[in-house]
Amino acid sequence: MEVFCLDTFLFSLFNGALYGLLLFMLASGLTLIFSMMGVLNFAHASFYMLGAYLGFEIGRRTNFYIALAVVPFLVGGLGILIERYGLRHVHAYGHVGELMFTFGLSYVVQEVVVTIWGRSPLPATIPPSLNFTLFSVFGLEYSAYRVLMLFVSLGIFVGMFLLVARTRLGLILRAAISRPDTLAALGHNIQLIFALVFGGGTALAALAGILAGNILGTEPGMAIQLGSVIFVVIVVGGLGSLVGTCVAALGIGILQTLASSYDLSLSMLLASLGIRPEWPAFLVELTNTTLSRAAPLVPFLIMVALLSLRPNGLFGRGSS
Amino acid sequence: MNRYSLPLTALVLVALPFVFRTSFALAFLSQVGALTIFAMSYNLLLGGLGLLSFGHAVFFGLAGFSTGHFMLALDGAGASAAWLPLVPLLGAAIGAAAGIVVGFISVRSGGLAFAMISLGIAELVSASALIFVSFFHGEAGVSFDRALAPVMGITFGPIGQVYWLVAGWVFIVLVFMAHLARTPLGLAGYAVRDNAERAGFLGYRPVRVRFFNFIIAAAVAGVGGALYAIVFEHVGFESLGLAQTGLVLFMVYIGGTGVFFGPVLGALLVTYLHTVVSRVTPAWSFYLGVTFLLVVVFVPGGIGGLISKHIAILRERPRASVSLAGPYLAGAAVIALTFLGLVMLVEMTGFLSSPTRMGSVMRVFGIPLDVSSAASWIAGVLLVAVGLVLCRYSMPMVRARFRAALPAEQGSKQ
Repeated sequence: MEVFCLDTFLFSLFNGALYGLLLFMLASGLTLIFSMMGVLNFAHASFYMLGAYLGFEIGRRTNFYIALAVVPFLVGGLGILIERYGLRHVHAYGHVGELMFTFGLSYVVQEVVVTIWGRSPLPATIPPSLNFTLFSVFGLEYSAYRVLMLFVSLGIFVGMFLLVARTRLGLILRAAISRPDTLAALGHNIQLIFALVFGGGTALAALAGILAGNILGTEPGMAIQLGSVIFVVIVVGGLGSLVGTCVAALGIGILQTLASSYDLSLSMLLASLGIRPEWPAFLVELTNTTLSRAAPLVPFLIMVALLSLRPNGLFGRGSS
Repeated sequence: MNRYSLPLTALVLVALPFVFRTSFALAFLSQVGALTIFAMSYNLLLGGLGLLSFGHAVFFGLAGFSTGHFMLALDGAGASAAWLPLVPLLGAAIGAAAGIVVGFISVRSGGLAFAMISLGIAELVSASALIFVSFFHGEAGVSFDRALAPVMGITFGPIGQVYWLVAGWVFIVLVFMAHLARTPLGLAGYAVRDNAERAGFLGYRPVRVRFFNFIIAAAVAGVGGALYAIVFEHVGFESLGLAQTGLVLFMVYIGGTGVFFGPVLGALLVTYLHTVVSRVTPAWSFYLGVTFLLVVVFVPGGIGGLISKHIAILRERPRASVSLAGPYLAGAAVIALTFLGLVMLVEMTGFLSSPTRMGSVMRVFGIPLDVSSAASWIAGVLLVAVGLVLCRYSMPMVRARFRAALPAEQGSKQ
C-alpha cells in the first residue's frame, strides 16, 4: 500500500517515543503524588505550564542551563507552600475534596499565567547551544536537545524506581501512604513528608515544562492540552503504578503520533480492498474521517475502552 | 426547604421581570435560569450522590446542539411558537439517552474512578465535536432564530417572552428536584453517597441507584442545555467541554451542595461574574477561581450552608446573633483589606501585560495607580501581607464566635 511506507512509520515511531517520554516525565510526578499521598493532582499540568513560562523568563534573562537548574526548585517550593497552606486543610474531606481543590488550583494558575504573560504564545525555542544534530538514523536527524530530553526522562524513571524500591527514604514514603499514624508514632514527620512529596512531584512537572515548552510551544493552552492526556496515562497504566505509567505513556505517545501521521480513513481502507459500499448519509463523515484527524481522540478512546474491560488499568492493584 | 419555599419561589419568579425591566437584566435572568437548571442537575450528582463529574456538560451541550438543529427545522417548516415550550423536553430526551450510554460505562464505582472516566468522556466528546462538522458545525457552532410563527401574539422572539419560558421550566425543575429528594430513589442516593457498602447490604444496589440518578441528572442537564441554547440562539462546541463543567462545579460548590437553593445562589453569583464583572476586568475568572479555592478550603458548606446556619441562629438564638455583629464587621474589614491589595496587584499585572495599554496610570476602585512606580506595587504587596497576617489571627476568633452562637443540634452536625 502506498500510504504505508517504512520511513514515515519509523519517523513517527521515534517521535512518538519521544512524546511518550515527555508524557512519562509529566505523569511520573503525578503518579508519585498519587501513590504517596492518595491525591489526584488535577493541577499537575499547570505546574508544567508554570515551569515552561518561568523557564522561558529566566532563560531569557540568564541562560537555559540556569533556568533548568533553578526553575524546578522554584516551582517545587511553590508546591510545598500550596500543600502546607491549602491542600492539607482539605485532606479531611477525602479524595473528592482534594480533587476539587486541585481543579480550582489549575484554574487559578491558568489565570495567573494569562494575567502575567498575556494570551499569545511566547517565542520559546531550543537553545542554540543544543540545537545541532547529534546523530541520524535512517535519514532522520536527532538534535542534541531531544537526546537530552530522552536522558532526563530515563534518569527520572530509573531514579524514581530506585528511590522508591531501594532506599530507606523510599521505604518511609511507602509506609506514609499505608500506615501514616504508625509512621508518625515512630517519630517521622508525616506532614513534612507529604509536603516534600508534593513539592517533588511539582518540581518534576516543572522540569518537563522547561524541556518541552521549547519544542511543543509555550502558550496558554499547553496545560489544558496535556493535562487530560496525562490523566489518561496514569489511569490506563493503573493508578499508582510507576511501571504502568511508563508503559502507558510510551504506548499512548506512540499510538497517537502514529495515528496523526496517516491520512487513512475507513472508506479508503475498504476501497483499497475493493469494497465501496453506499454508506448512509450520517455515516459518511465517520468513514471519511482520516486517522490523522481523529488522533486527538486516541488517548481517550483507549482509556474508555480499557476501563470498561479492566477497571483498574493495566498494572492496577485490584482495589480502587 | 419548607412548605412555603416553592410558593415563594414562584412569587419571586413572577415578580422579577416587573422589578428588572431592561432587556439586559431579562437576558441575564434568563441565562441564570437556564444555568440554575444545569446546576440543580449537577448537584444531584455532587451533593446527592457524592459523585464529582468532569463531564456533565456533555449532556448540556448535546441537548443544546440537538435543540439548535430542531429549531432550524422548525424555522424551516414555519412552525408555530406553541412548539417552543416543549423543546426542552427534546433536550431532556437527548440528555437521558446520552446519560444511559455514559452512565453504563461510568457509574460502576464512585470517587476517583468516576471522576476520571467522566473526564475522559468529556474530552472524547469535545474532541469529536471538532471532527464531526456536519452536526457540530466546527468552531462556529449552530446558530438559529428562536422566533417562530406567532400564537396569540407570542413569538418568543423578544427576551421578555423567553424569560417566562425559562422561569416556567425553572419552577418545574425545582418542584421536580424537591420531590425527587423525598422519593425512595433520591433517599437511596444519599445512603449510597454516605456508605455504599452498607446501602448495598440493605438491598439498595449502589450501581443501580447511581445509574438511575445519573440518567435523571443527565435529562435535567438536557433541559438546561436546551434553554441555554434558546436564550442565546446559538450553541458552540465549548458548551460541551471541561470549561463548562468547571463553571457549573464552581456554581454548585460555591452556592452550597447541601442546601436546596445553593445551586441557585451559585448560578446567580457565577453568572454575575461572567456577564457583569467580566466587562470591568478580564481577570474575573481569576477571582472566581480564588473564591472557589477559598470555599473548598474554609467553607465546605458553601454560601448556602452559611446562610442556612445563620437563619438557624437568628431564629433560635436571636441574642447570640447580636454578639456576632462585632466580630463579623472586624472580619469583613480584614478581608476587604486583603482583597483590595490582591485586586490591586492582579489588575496592575494585567494592565502591564496588556498589549493595548496606554500610558502607565490606571484605576482600581477609582484609586489612580502608576504601574511604573514601585510605590504602588509595594502598597499592594503590603496590603496583602498585612491582610493575610490579620486574617490568620482574626479568622479563628470569628469562627469560634460563630461556632459558639450555633444552636446545639446545628453545632453537633459540624
